[in-house]
Amino acid sequence: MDSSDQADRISNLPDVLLVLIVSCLSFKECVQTCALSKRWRSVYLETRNVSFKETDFFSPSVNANPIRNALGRIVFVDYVRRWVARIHDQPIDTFEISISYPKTYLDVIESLIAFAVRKRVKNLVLDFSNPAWRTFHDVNLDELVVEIPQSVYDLATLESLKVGACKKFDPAKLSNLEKLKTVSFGWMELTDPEPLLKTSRVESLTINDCWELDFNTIKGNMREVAIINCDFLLNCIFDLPRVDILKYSGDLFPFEFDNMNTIISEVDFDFRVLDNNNDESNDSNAEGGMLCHLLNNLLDYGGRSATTLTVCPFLLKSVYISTLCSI
Amino acid sequence: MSESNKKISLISSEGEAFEVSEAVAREFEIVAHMLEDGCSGSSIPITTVDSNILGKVIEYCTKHVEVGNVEGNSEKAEKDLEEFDKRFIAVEMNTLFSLILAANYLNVKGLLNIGCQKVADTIKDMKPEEVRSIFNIENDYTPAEEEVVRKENEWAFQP
Repeated sequence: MDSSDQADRISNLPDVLLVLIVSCLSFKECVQTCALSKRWRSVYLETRNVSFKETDFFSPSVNANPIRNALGRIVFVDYVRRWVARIHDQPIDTFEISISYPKTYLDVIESLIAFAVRKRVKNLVLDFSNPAWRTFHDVNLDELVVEIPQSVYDLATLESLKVGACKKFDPAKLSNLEKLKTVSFGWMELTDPEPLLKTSRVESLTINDCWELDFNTIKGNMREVAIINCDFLLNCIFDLPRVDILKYSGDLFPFEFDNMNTIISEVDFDFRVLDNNNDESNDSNAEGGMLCHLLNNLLDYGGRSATTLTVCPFLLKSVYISTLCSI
Repeated sequence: MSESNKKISLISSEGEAFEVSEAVAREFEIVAHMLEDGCSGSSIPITTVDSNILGKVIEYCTKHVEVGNVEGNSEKAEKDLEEFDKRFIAVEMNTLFSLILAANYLNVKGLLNIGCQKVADTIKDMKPEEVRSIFNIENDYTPAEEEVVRKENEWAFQP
């Protein structure tokens, strides 16, 4: 009825608003808008959120022909280079580069990191892990070649940072970043993040597939903590008075809970790694006892509560086995 | 404190006056700038925004000023505000674009952000053909031109 119902109001918006809209899309969806019409031909290039993921370009599976993977990587890196070369004054909020086998492209990676630092980005992802890795046992140390430069540790605009498979990464060096709220570290040896967690305002911490963790407390004011398939050298004490979401998956090892929040919305335990040896050995009993202790310790013998508690089948089985003797 | 009691009239494109507190009017950055530039008159014409949309923008700003003034349980307040935003922006497309244009003109950042996010949420998970039909976008590419554009960004069109 109304003629405005038929009008293309979106394309009539000024450029600055179209850029804001495409910046709300995922990078892939944003790039797709180029096909809409001539009006949209180059809007996508101005997006503030740039995310280059090798896996968006090709699937580097273990079984794939290595030559095909290498060619895919060349096309990918070429695309990234051309994109970045086009950018001059426009602001960038989010920058991501995720690429495996970084050795060949160290110079490109270095210049991309420098670009992100120059743009004073808020969200940065530097991930050089290999999709073929299933656990940290698969990591070939020769593949960890990228070193995070000091300029990143000093990047005061950072609100979130994800680092994967880098060399000599030191979370303590991020301690001066006051805006940093979300951190994620994966696929590396990790030194103690305590100095970071103690001084910063980090609200969300994720550690996945890291090894040689030689610290024995995770302490801080984080709201969300996820520890996924990591290898601790010692036992570990969680001291998280404000935690609202707690996730742990990996080996069952002795861990304790200290000063935890009274009500935790979501607790998720998954001891899937252990479940691989499915035999009903005598060990199950000991493990079950350990699990009961852990749960009781977490729930402070009734003093604390979790709104949602998700556990893996292994946990239920083991707790059942040892229920009769320990609770 | 005296400032917050002061009333200001915002005049829509139809000439209708909306009386609001100065705190609410200051949520419109453009009005805040006018006030700072010594524009002391108590009525401010907003000539590019009609009554319907101006009323809505005022409703948005009033809610945000109110919640901003409440002390105490900030987490609950934040959640309430999120709920309010969600309901507020669930409007039909034409109103949504008018709100975005008004928020941009008046420089109300929060409203501009949720408006753009709402449009983006409509676009995502859709093929370009579907986006065109929802927004009445006329495809003025020739098939050959469109092929070139898609080829340049081939990766983004893979499933």
